[in-house]
Amino acid sequence: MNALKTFTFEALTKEQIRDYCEASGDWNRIHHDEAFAKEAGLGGIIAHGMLSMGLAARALEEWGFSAEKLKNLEAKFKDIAKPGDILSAELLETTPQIRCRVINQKGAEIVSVSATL
Amino acid sequence: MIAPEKSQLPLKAHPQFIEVNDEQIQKFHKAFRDGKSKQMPATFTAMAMKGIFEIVDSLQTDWRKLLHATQSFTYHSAITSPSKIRAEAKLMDCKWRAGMYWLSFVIEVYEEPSQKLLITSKSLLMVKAE
Repeated sequence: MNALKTFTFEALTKEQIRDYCEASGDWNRIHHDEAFAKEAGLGGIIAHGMLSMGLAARALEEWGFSAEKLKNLEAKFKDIAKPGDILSAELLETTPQIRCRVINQKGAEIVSVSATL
Repeated sequence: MIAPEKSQLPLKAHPQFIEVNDEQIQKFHKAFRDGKSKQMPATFTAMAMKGIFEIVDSLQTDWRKLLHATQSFTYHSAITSPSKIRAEAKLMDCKWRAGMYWLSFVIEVYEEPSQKLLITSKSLLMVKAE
């Protein structure tokens, strides 16, 4: 499906993931402890699924779908985002509900999001 | 992980009280690399997931095996700033399927002291088998 609109974020960094730890209070070590994340079989630090959902919500704002108008926001986490990834949000549909997704630079879907106003 | 008995459900976390203020809102916008927004982020109550983490810890879950599968927010009323909110997290269900535990959580967020229900969030987390 072709995207109606696209919004590309700056490359994900460890600092940004740490900023999300700070904001959300989610200090799971897979998000800031490289050795722990590798032990977990993740290859290294990964971003919070909730960070990718938050980025999707930010893209919705950019496209004119204000958070204050939302009745419902849902996300399915599909894949992992890591430092160095360049994430883009794609607006796929606006009716009957808003659907968008966040993908990485390889086109892998990180999260799919739907929203109703 | 020690799976709860059905009779133990729902498992409740301690209520979590959150101060809503511009400083906290800006922490989210900083994480989203959105320096210009002053809006209440749609996912602000991700902070309330601490209640889920408390329950996850009480089940002696290995955090390396924990993954977030789905998340939803239903917005009943706006969160204002500054204000104080109370989050009540509960584990509603624990299913074993495809070699994993699937944990279904609900968090209800209320405005203090009015007790107005602001947000209902649902989280599905997976814990891989030992």
